[in-house]
Order: sequence, then C-alpha cells, then structure tokens
Amino acid sequence: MRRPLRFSPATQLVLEHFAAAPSRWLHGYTLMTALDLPSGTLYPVLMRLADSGWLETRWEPPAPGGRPPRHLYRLAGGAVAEARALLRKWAMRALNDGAPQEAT
Amino acid sequence: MYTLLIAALGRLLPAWRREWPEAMLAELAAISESAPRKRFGTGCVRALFAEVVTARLGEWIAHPRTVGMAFAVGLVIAVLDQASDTRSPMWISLVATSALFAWCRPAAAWRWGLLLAIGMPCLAAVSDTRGPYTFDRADAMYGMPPAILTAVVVASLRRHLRLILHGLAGISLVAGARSATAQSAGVRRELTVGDIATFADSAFADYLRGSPQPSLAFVVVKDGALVFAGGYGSEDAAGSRRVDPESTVFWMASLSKLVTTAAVMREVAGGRIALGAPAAQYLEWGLPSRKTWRAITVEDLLTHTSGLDEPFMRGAVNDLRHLVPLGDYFSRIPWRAGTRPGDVLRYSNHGMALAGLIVERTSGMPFAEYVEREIFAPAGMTHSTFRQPVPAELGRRIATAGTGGAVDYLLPTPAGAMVGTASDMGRFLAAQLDTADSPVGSLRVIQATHWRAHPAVPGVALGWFETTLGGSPGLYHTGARHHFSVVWLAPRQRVGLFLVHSMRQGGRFQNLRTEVVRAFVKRYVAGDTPAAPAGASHAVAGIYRPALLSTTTIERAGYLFLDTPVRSTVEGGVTMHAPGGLGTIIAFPIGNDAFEVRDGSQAGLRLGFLGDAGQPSRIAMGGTLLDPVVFSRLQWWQRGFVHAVLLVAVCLALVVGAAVQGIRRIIRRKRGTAVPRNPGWIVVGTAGPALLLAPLTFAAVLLSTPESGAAAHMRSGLRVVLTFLSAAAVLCAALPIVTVLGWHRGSEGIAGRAALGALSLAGAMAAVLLWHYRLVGFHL
Repeated sequence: MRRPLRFSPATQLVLEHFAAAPSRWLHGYTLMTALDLPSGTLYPVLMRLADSGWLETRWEPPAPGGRPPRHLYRLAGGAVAEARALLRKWAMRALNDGAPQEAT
Repeated sequence: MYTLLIAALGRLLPAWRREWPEAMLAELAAISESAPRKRFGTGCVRALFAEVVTARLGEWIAHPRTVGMAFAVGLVIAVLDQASDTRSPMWISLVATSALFAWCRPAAAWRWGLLLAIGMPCLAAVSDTRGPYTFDRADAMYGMPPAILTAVVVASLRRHLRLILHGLAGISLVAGARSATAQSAGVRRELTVGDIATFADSAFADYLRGSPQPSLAFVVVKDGALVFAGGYGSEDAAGSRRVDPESTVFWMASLSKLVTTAAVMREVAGGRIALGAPAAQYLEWGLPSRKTWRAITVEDLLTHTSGLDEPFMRGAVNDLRHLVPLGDYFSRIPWRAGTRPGDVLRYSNHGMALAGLIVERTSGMPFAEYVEREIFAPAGMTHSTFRQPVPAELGRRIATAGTGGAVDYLLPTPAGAMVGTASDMGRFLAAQLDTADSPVGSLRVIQATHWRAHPAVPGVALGWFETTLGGSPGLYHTGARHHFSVVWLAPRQRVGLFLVHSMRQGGRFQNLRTEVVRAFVKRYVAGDTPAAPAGASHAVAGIYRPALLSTTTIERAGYLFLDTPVRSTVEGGVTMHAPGGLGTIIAFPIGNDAFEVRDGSQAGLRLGFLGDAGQPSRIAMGGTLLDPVVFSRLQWWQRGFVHAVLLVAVCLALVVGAAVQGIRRIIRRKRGTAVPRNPGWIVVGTAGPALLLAPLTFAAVLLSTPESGAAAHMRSGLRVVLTFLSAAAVLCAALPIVTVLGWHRGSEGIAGRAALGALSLAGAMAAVLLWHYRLVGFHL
C-alpha cells in the first residue's frame, strides 16, 4: 500500500540501506549508528516509510530478563523492486548532474 | 528522564501512532552507554515533539470553519472591550462563548479558549490601543487563562456529566440529563448497571460454559452515553487474559459500514458530497449503466441499492504484498451493471467501499486517516482503526479464542476492515444518539427510511437496516469476519447495544445475537410495532430466488442451488424453505400481501409480496437481524434445479458417450476390425473427460481447503476447474458443427449418426448452460 512520498536525502539514505539487504530485519539504533543519522531524523523517516507501505515492521519476541521487545524494520516484500528502481534513478540523476554519487 | 519524556509525549499521540514511542523506549532500554543514550533520547524527544505538534495541528485544521468562527468571535469581543468603560462584559462574553464552544465541540477544547482570547492581544498589537483601564503591557493577555480554563472544565464536565450525576445522586448510572419521567417514555425497565449486569450474566451463562470459551463483549448505551460495558470469557485460547471491553480488540467486520456512512455524512455536512448526486461525479471513472437507467447516486451506495454487480471472491488477500490502495483496487475491477439503481436491495460491500473511496476523493485523505481524524477522535474512539495491517498496539490485543487467529487483508477496506474495542463501538453507538454534536453526521437523515420494498417490511436507513425484532422498531447491523457482532439501536427510546463474540457461527452460537437483542428489547424497551397496513392476501406460492450473488462471474453458479420454494398453508399462511441454513419458516398473514413468522429464532421476520395482485413477482424479507433480502419469482424454465438436473444429465450423457466410444474402439482394435476416425467422436472423447475432471477437481479443492488462506486456495483451485470447464464448453459448442460435417462425409452408420446427433444436442445444451452460469473463462 505504497503512497507517494517526498524523498529527502535522509529518506534516500535509509531506503538505500534497507534495499542493500532487503530480507534483514533491523533495529532503530543499529540503523542510527550504521547511517550516522540522529534519531530525531531517523525516526520520522521510518514513520513515513512505514506509513506509506515501504517498510514492514514487527516486534521482537519478548527477551528474557524483562527487557521490552524491540521494534524491527525491513523493506516490504512488494517494495524491493520499486526501491531498487528508484535508487537506480537517483544514481543516474546524480551522474547526470555531475555530482558525486553518495553512499552507494 | 528521557524515558519519562518519551512516554509523556507518546500519550499525546493518536492511538495508532503509539507504537513508535514504545519502539523508541525499547531501543533506549537496549542502549547501555550514557553518551549514545543521551544522543538517542534527545533525538527521540525532538521527533516525538514534532509528531505531537503535527498531529494536534491536524486536529485544529480538521474544523477550519469553527476555528475561524472562534477567532472572529474573539475579535468582536475585543472590539467591544475596547469600546466599553468596564471590563466585565469582556470577561462574561469570553467565558460564556468559551463554554459554548467547548460544549459543542469538546475535543481539544482548550483551543477554543485560546482562539477566543487571542483576539484582544491581536487587536491591541494592530491598533496600538489598549483601552482606558489598562494596567500593564500584558493586560490584553489576561483573558486567556479564564477562557482556556472554562473551555477545559466545560468539555470535561460534558464528557463526565453522567458519571458526576451518578456520583452525586448515588443512584444507578442512568445516562442523560433527562428526568425520570421523560426517560420512562418507551422504556420498560430502568437501565441500571446492576440490572444490565444481571441481564448479561443470565443471557451469556449458557454460552460461556464448556471449552473453548468465547471472547465476548457487551455494551449498552443510553442518551448518548455508555452506561454498561462488560467483557466475558477469555481474550486468547489459552485463557490467560480475561476480555476487557476497554482494551480487548475485536474485528468489527461489516459494522465498518456504519463508520463509512458516518464519514460520508461528515462530507455531506461539509457540502463536499451530495447524497442525491451521481456517484461517478466524484470518481475519475464512470460506473456501468444502461441508457434507460438513472445514474447510481451516493444514497444508492449507502442503501445497498446501487444494483452494481459484485463479485466478492477477490475482496480479501492473505499476502500483505497484494494489499493495494482502495483506488487501485477499484480501478482494476471489471464493473458491470446488475440491476436498475434503486430497484432491488442486494447487500453490497463494493457499494459501501465505493462510498469510502468518494470520501477519500473529496477529502484528499486516505480513508483510514480521515476516519481517525473526523470520526474516531471526536467520538473518543482511541482504540479503533481501519489500518491494515493492524497497528501492533491494537493487533496484540485482538481476541483469538475460538477463531484460530487467521489473518487476511480486506481490499474494499471501508466495507469491513475496522478493528476496535467494545467500548469504542459503544462510544460510536452513543454518538448515534447524541444529537448535540454528533461526529457521525446528521442523525435525522441517517436514521430515516431511505429505501423500502414493501410497506409492511422494514426497510433501509443510511448504512443501517431497519428491524422490528422484539416488537419494537429499531436499526441494526451485523458483522461477520473472524468475529461476529451486532449493533442495535432504538432511536426513539434512545437506547442501543453492541454485542461481539469470537466463536464461529453455527451450533449453539447460531442465534446468540438474535436472542440477546430480542431479550433486551423485551426487558428494557416497550414494544410498539406499528400494525401492518391491512389488505387482502393473494396466491403467493411459487419458486423464488434471492438476490444475493453476482450474475456476471462464476458466483452465478451458486444460483443452481438457491431455489427457494414458497407454499401456501391451509391456515392462509406461507412456508418458505429459505437458504442460508434458516430451514423452513412458517409465516402467518398480517394483511396486504405480507406475512410474519410467529415462533422460533426468526419470530418477527416479515415477508412482503410485491407485484401485480394475484401474481407476485418479488418478496421483500426483513424484520429480524437477517440482512434484508429481495427474492424474485422464477418461471419453471428459470429454476436453478431444472438447470442443474439438465446440466448433470447432458454432462453425464457426454461422459458416458465418451466412455462407450472408448470401449468400442478398444474392442474393435482387439478384434482387429478397422476403427473409423470420426472427428465427432474425437470431440466427444475429449469433452467427456474434461467434464468429468471438473467436478472431481472441485471436490479435491473443497476437501483440501486449509483453515487459513482458504480464499486464496479456493481461488487457485477454481481456476483449474474453470480451465477444464472452458475447454469442455468450447468442445461442446463445436460438437454440432463437427457432427454435421461428419454426416456429410458419411463415415458413420445410422445408429452412430443418431447417437452422435443426440450427443451434439447435449453438447450444445451443456455449452449454453456453462456459459449462462459463467462457468467458462479464466477470471473468477
């Protein structure tokens, strides 16, 4: 159920990271450290992506020791091809603009 | 500290958004070092703050006219204040208008106080005059605290008025500020919490015995407030948690249609939709019609009378990847005209979902979001959603006892995708009785009769069906998808109830909903069913067919088995062998070609015969909690039974013909005699096995249907069956031509020619019948 979304540079970065390993479930903090994005930027991006159907989310099974279950994210099954097509488009545009390609 | 801040900000978010603060808290708990923790926490607080502001701003913008009006009234008060010698009129007007706004729109009431009082500083800044009695520069702001405080107090008073009255008087929780005398009009017994609890305990006792226990919830509303909410049985199959009406989540299924109706009526109130306008006017594509028919209106969609032909097999998917937005779903549907708009009532999921799509188009918002903002938020329904997949916060609490917990996704979302708690549904129901500021649109319009087939048979309101169950006029709707529910409402007595349970229908749960509503009406609501208009009864016996299925898809084949015989009894009544597990019902005449069932689970069900005197062409059925149905009279050659017998006979003839021919060829080969190669027999030899394989495959599909994913399994199985039948139909249609060509060649003796001629006729008949029941093609 993907709705049109405005792709900010941060959103592009996040989408790129998810598209690199579409089957892997990732934690919010892991993403934050991997992409070096502040959580204040990352979470709104995750929310929008999940709202518009790009991401699927699930909760981890409860861990022993009473730690609350963590939220996991990955690219929605039907969105992988579309995400890759978008990434290719952005890469082409970056090449055409003569700008250095970021975070491939 | 971050934990506290995140939790506090999370509480300010709408319910469907609250999984995010939970996710942040879980991440925060997993970070042990202090510096990253601080960095993560600060970012989360920032993000949540922005979310809260966006969400709350959304609420403000949701009522732009009222917001503008509040600001304008504030400005008028400010002008008056500057012109007057004393400040008292300003204080009085500010507090009074603030109270009025908060009473009418209690959601986010503080904004009214703020908007009203902000007029003074604005005017002071623009005009640079502060009135003759100004003490200091901040003087113009002094109106804000009392205005905001008044708004908040009044809104909260309004919300809790019933509770406060109850506490003060120490009496039963009678809803509404009406006097006891006014309340007794039409109400048989006082609705007290204790009495309803006793009623519910005795009504559900039998159903809660044994194992597995159902998840069951029961809610009663009166005069626009929730007076009783009870949970029974366990929430999950393991029995580890009891059902809580405030937090256990149920599938609301078709009760979603009432919310969709409310959404349409909000748009009608805003002037963006007209009930009588053609529905196609709001869509980018047209709806099917015929030249002599009028256009399908929005009202037709809300009363199930659009006449659109609706295949329902494609309505649900098991795979999230196949879930598409409402607009995409509808743009892929092969729309076909069924019956003349407004002519026949046929329960229509697509009609209602189309109404939801129109709301999306006129509001520019996805349906689920619109409903959250315009219906759920103002009605205080914080645990309800149309979102798919269900947000984790609600999904975790879905009752699973007895259901197996199967998950699927509905494509015509507004027709049945809602989940929510029993108390939330109670709040929605209460809003249906709350005429002061109902978030569900104009109640007068919604609850009026909009379509009726027969004067003696209850008709249809907007979204709601009319009933006379228990002997009192009421409105109702039932829901059946994973969970089974009913809402029933008596607008005149201002009473309503909601019941939901998780056990599969059938067995002892078959009549639970009807029994509870009937017992409730008997106990609390005075019966005042209007007498049916008198008139003579005519001969009504015949075979009828209910308008239930799509006539342009394979679903039409269901009509082979839906003949409904109606016979006259010696007492002047009728018997009807009704479909859908109802069995034979006996109805007695009440005049004017109408009959009523007196006993049994369907007591009160009415049958109204329509058409020329003495030769009725239709029956309208309704009056209990069965979805109203219209039956059409069939001539003998139109009967499904006749067609089924004919189809089986011709198919058998072809199968036997193929078998005999096959055996003949084998014997001839063994004897060494020449086997003539007649193309007619080759066609029979191919069509016969195809016709035999189709029912065998269908039986295999039925036997192997899994518990979950049944719809998808059926769809793929039926496609295989259709392939066999399509091949058989093509061969059958070709058989007469091939046979005639064979005759010309003279490759067969007289007996062979006669046999092949008879089989050609059978083949032609089979092809016609297969085509008529849409058993050919590749699309379901």
